[in-house]
Amino acid sequence: MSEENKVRQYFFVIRELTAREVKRKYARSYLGILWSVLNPLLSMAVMSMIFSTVFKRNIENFPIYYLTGSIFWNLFTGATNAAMTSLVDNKSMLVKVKLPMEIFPLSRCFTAMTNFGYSLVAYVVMLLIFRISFTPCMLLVFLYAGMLFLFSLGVGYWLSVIYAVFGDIKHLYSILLTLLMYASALFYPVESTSEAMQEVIVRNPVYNYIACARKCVLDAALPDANQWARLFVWSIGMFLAGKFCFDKLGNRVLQKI
Amino acid sequence: MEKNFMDIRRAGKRNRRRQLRFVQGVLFGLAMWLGCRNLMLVRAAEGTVHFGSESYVWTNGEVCPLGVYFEGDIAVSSYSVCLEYDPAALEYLDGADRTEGNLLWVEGGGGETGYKRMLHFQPLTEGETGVQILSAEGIGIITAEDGTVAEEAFVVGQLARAPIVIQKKGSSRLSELAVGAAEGMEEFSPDVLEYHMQVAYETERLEIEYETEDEEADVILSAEDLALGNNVVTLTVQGVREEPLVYTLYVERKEEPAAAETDHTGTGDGNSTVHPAEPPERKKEEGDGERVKLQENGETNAGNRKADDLETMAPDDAEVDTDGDAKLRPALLAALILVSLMALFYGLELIKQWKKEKKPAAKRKKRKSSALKMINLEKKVIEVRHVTMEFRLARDEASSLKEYVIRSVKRQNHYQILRALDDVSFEVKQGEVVGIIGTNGSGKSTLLKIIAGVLLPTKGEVVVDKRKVQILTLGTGFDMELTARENVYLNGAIIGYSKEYIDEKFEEIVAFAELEGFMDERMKNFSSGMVSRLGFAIATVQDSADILILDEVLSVGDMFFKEKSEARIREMIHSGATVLIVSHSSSVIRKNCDTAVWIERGVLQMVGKPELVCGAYEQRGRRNETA
Repeated sequence: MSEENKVRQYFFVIRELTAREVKRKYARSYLGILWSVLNPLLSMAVMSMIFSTVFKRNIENFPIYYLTGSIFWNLFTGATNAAMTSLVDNKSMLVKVKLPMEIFPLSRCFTAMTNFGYSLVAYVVMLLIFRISFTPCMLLVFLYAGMLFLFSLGVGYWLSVIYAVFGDIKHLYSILLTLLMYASALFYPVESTSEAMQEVIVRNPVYNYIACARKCVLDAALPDANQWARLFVWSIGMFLAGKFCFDKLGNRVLQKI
Repeated sequence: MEKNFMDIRRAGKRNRRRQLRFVQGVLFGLAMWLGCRNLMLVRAAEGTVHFGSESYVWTNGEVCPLGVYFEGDIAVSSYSVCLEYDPAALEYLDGADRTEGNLLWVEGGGGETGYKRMLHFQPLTEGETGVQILSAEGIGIITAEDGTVAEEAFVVGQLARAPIVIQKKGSSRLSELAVGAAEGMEEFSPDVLEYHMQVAYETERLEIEYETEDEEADVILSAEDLALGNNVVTLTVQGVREEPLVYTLYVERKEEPAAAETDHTGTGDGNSTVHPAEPPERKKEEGDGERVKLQENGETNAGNRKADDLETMAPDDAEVDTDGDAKLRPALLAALILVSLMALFYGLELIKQWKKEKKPAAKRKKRKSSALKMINLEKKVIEVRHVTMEFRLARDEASSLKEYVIRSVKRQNHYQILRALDDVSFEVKQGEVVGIIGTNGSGKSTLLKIIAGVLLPTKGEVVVDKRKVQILTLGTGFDMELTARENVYLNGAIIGYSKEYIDEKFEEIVAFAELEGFMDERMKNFSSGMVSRLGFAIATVQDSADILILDEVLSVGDMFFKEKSEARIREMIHSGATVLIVSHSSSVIRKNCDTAVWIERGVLQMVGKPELVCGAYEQRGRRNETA
């Protein structure tokens, strides 16, 4: 197979795997793929109703504030949770596949990305309803999503390898995610927390993506220097670290599986 | 299924019975209690008088209700309750039948068992006060069975007191407002909500000083930075338990005194006389408009104010670090540099790898173009050189993280080395059909995985062109939730077929597997034979498989399929493919192979003609049985 064909084949496999995951998710439901759009809409409506009565004073455009955070958060958790079990779930295929093992976590992250894409449709609808004006700055959302994808991929690589060797990580990770969620200021403004907590929140990488996205949608502003730095450092750093770990421990995983 | 259903029904019946018994028990208890009460209540009628709540919290200046309840256990024909209050703290408005000084009477009757009277007061000062019931009397009526009517005076228990706490009325007004360095501002008055002023060009921030009437009120200032031109600054005052009040300041920051055009690095473009105001928060433009409209209507009280006017401040997510444009922190800068270096390094690695792969491809291309594809009988296609494979198995593997840690500390984590393959070496020439035979657990599958490149051997190496290897195991690579059609594409993709190739060969695959009409069924409904037929068909549809490895695949399927698959294998062999068959059945090996390799417990026992090797294998087996 020539180089070009190999790359095409690589993408073909990923597409197939992603398609499979997407089909699988809604295999038994009637509405099927429509849920990818409905789900964020409904959860946003519910959360807005609940929280706007509590935090009405402090946050302008709370539904959009919350929804931005929510779709990015769901991208992160969806991608990492799915990638974690990707190697173990596909252990029968690991033997047959000629392409590198990375395609399994990668395809799961792509699936999460696809779902994110669908939820963007719901997001745009919400933006129209709340009459947020569209600016070119908003296109940066795609950049942030891409960087979050890289970050999630790195974390996914880590998790998939660790999970294959240590099943406990699944439970530990879900607890960690809960902690992270509260440190991501999804549904409350950062200022309403204590100073110490604010420091933690600002350093949280996932929060950084969310903050940048909110900035560009609600304020039509670019992130400041620190935020840019954090974006790049976390995305690229985590991706490289994850890949490194994946390559090194990959063989051990195959033995265990 | 039926059994489950019956269980559910039985469980349902049980539950209902339980519920019924519970209800019966409650009703019985209730009946007993009522009966006893009635027995005890022979002569004295009991009445109670109380307030609507145990205590009250009222706001100074507002009209507040107070409920008085008179209840008797028999019909009340008349009642009279006398209440006392403090006129200095509360102003009585209405609700009672008679008043005298600081006393109120509520009276009434008519045959009900309870009466509720609502009194209204208006607090005058803050503090604590209360309303006390001084006396309560009433007369009740009992109608006996024979129709006679008897009157009973009520015996009233406790005469309650309702403590009332009167809170200060909150206020959302400012008592003072001063803006430094502003010209032309109207004099401040708490009721005036709009002010206009001008500031000099140099004034970049607004200096505001204010004081609220209510100490506990919150004030939110929309912004302090001033852009050139018109600015709208709002102060939202939120008093305790009060609607918020918004004071709006229209501040005009004068243009730069010099007439020449200069570059402004700040916000705003400063030169046109009519340019739109740039409020600090983009979204507030609409909100401001609304607020101004409301104020123009003269409604300064928050009665009609919409809820969204409260939302004036968008949170500044990055504010924690610095104010305004943050300078890059040194730690982040260092991290950034580090990460870029890592990325560079990784990129270089990738380029190196890519170059390495390109080189042999060039060589191969030359060879192919030179001559027809000849079957070189001497060419070694697979070389297994001194391959040893060791697995680390934990003895009594720790089932959880906690156990693992404890054992590490106690040094109980002993590892057992399992030698799956021990110094195995053999060669396979092009076009050969080699059979690998051995009992279960002899290391055959491990060897296959190593040849396929899935596992890396602990020692030794395998020389083979991994791109040409096609490994076929039973029913793997299929996702049972998908249909057969989708699985063909998925499996084909994983093996290495392109989409166009699969489209081309789809019919052929279905025909070989004899699964016409089943392709749109979910594979979980397939029998194991159908699954393996499909797997076999997909793997063998290509003409150019150079090295095919079959892992126990020929032993599945009915007689006809076995014939078909063996025929197909023979076809592939004729076209020059090398086949490696793994089996524990010597008949399969004898029938199909040129050479046989016997591996037992990881050690290579014998390599040679199938009859010889299989004979020895069977003999060993029989010896083990009899021994």
